[in-house]
Amino acid sequence: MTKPLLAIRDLSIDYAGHIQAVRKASLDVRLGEAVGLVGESGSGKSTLASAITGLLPESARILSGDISFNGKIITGSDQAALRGDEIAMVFQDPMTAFNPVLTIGDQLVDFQNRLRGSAAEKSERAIAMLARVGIPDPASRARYYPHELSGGMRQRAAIAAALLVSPSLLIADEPTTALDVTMEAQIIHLFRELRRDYGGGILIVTHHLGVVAELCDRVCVMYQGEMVEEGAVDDIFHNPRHPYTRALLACDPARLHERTDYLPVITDAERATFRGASTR
Amino acid sequence: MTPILEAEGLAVNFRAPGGFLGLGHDRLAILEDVSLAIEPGETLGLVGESGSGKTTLARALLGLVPRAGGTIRFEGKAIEAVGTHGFRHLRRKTAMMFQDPVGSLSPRLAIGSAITEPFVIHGALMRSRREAAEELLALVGLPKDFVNRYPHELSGGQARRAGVARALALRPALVIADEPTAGLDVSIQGEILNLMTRLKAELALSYIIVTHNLAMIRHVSDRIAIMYLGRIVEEGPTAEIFAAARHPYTASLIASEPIPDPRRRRQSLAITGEVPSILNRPKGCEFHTRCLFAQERCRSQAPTLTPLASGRSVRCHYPLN
Amino acid sequence: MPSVAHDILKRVTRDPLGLLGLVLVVIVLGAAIFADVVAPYDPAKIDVLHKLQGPSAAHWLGTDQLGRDTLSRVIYGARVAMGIAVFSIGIGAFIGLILGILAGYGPRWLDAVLIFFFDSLSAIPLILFALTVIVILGPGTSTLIFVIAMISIPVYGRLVRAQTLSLRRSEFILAEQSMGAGLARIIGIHLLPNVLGPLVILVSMDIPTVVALEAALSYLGLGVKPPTPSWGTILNDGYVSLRTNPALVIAAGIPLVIATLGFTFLGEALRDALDPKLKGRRSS
Repeated sequence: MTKPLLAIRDLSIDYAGHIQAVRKASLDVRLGEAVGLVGESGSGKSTLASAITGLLPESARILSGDISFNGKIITGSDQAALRGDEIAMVFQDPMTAFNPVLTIGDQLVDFQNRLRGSAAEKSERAIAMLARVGIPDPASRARYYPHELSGGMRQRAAIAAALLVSPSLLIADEPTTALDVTMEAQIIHLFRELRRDYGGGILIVTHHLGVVAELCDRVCVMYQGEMVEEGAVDDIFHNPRHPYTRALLACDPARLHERTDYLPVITDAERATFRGASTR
Repeated sequence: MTPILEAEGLAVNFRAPGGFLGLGHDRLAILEDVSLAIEPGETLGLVGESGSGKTTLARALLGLVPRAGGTIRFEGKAIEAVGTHGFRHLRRKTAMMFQDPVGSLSPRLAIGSAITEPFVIHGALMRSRREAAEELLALVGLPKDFVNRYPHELSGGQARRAGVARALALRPALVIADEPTAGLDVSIQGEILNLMTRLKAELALSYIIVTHNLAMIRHVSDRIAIMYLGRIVEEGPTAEIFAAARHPYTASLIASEPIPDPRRRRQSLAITGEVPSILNRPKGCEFHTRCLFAQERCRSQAPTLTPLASGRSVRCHYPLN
Repeated sequence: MPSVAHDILKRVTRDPLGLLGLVLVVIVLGAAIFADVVAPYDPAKIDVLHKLQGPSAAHWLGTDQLGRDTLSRVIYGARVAMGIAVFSIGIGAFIGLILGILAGYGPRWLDAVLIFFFDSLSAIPLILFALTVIVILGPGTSTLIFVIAMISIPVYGRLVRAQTLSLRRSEFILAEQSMGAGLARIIGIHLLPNVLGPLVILVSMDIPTVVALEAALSYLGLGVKPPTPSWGTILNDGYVSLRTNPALVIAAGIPLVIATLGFTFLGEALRDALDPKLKGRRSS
């Protein structure tokens, strides 16, 4: 088994000493692999993703465990050096990824500040990447301001921005949640196309099971801070072992073949069985 | 049976500000020629993406936005201008659940007061306000002591339940729910929808559910109407439409939804491009710019909503199947 | 309602600076209200024999150039300062509140007219405006109140208007409309409490500004008429005898600082206390 690009071992994070957001979570991402990190609100998945890039809020503390990137432990060190270079992120709200007062083109050039090349070369690379992510007429779109692009275009531009620096790890946090169904399908399709050329590792953090099924090779399921199940995407969807995974899959209305009047829910009694039921 | 609510040729415009003292305006059509009817005891799904006008339609049906044309009939009687007796009757017998569950509750009003607002507004309070509030909370499965909580102290799911409670205060005949599951975890969505379904049977309600979530609406609605750029493009019984959609847009919507099964990955894109801006509506059939089956006629002539068999209708020159 | 006030009070006093501010404000207000009881002498009582004395047992803060007891004048000065501040800001905020709501919630043409009115009023330089009014109405307390009220109307009006405009489109207002709530109910119960918060905070922060403004104008001789004691006039009187008897300047300066600090701290604590979103933090 090749060494993982990203390895998280028994990571525990809490907020201001009160709420334990992540409990002894472990996660691997290898080069060329797409891993889905699935969970509902309060599962800790976003906290975990923020920890990788060193973007945890002030009140959060890493209690124990390690994050290694390319074999080197990066927890506690200044992860800013890796951000925007080796590790790139795509966020849920493409509007917040961009500075509203600068054009998309200017920002994409600015994001390349650690790369070599003249401004003209960087501008060309930016336009080429905008074309690569499916933005029509990229040369003139590069002169648009973020608010002048539609939501779908902005998300494509955000993906372009992330890929420009050729990161080894791309983290996408709810990349399609804010988009309409038809645009979501297009972005999923885009990710799949890009994977053919992009050799790095991808971590997709989402609560949307459909996105995970479409894009990921492996899946990690989190519940209330714990990593409850982990495995190949087919195993998770067709042979789930942890009661939470099974319950989560059962609740998704898209998985119900027959129409039902009353949708399945997770009862409190069921929830009581989730914690501590380990499959690892 | 008389439909609970009926709309015919509904049109809503948006006035973009401009001119001297903000008095001039450009008129943009948000809703065009919308006709639909909801029978008692029925759940109608209004399905569409952003820009489809579905939320505006929901609000227009309750007279919350002024209409530029068309008629609305509630329980058979035409609803005219704001402030008329008919209008006040409409307010009593209909209710709306809003998309932002916390934001639709007055921030400085305790939940107990918020959910009993309809009683006070219509002067219908039979017992103490607190008793009425507790009864409503029990109806939606919230604990009694939530009477004193404030909106920002509630989780998304709890705030939604409070919204249901408020909507049902005066036992309306029709409830319009705008994205009732938006922002909720999948495991909680079922709870809210099941609550609504149970109360529908108990209180003999009719629902209009506005949503873009196809997977959900397939289960909870009897009929659906698909909207595109402010027009209804297809309408009919839910099961039939999902089994065999007639309008290309409906078909591409259904085909676009990601399936939570890695063995059934979508190989190709059902639809490309984006919804055109209402500032720049395409000529002819407004969907022709993205339609895989568009022909010459579609580019120049706008289709009308044509009734088909079994209560379906479609707005297309060349319906599928 | 009483429980809301009690709740706010608790949250203000939990903050050490808020508590300090509250204490200082209570002192100043207490001096203003109970001046008759607290002040040892009649502030207008002239006693030229004992003029310009330093602090002593009989006169804690000494006397001014006409032999009047400085301490009594300072205490009554609080009444003048508070009175002017309360009335002028009160009138300005009240009118600003009404006009702001009209502008924000009413028809567009009304909004345009009121904005024009606000802009015109704030375009006039303060001193010029003050001087003009003084020339027309003559100097004195009521003139001062009028001037300050006028210039504060656009400030409060704009704030209330902005709040109203943003709230007008919020879902909870739409929800109330969908339930059939009338205009009076929407404005009175749902709009007003959410607009008052920022207004109250601005008002409390403006009080020290107005107090300082009154002192400045009185110092320039454009404010209250003698013998009415104002911290500004005391400062003015004291300036002349600064070298020989600094007690006057200090005596007028310190209450100004106390009032300013007190209202500023209180205002900041109020801003935090009135934010409903911060309420839940401790309980959840």
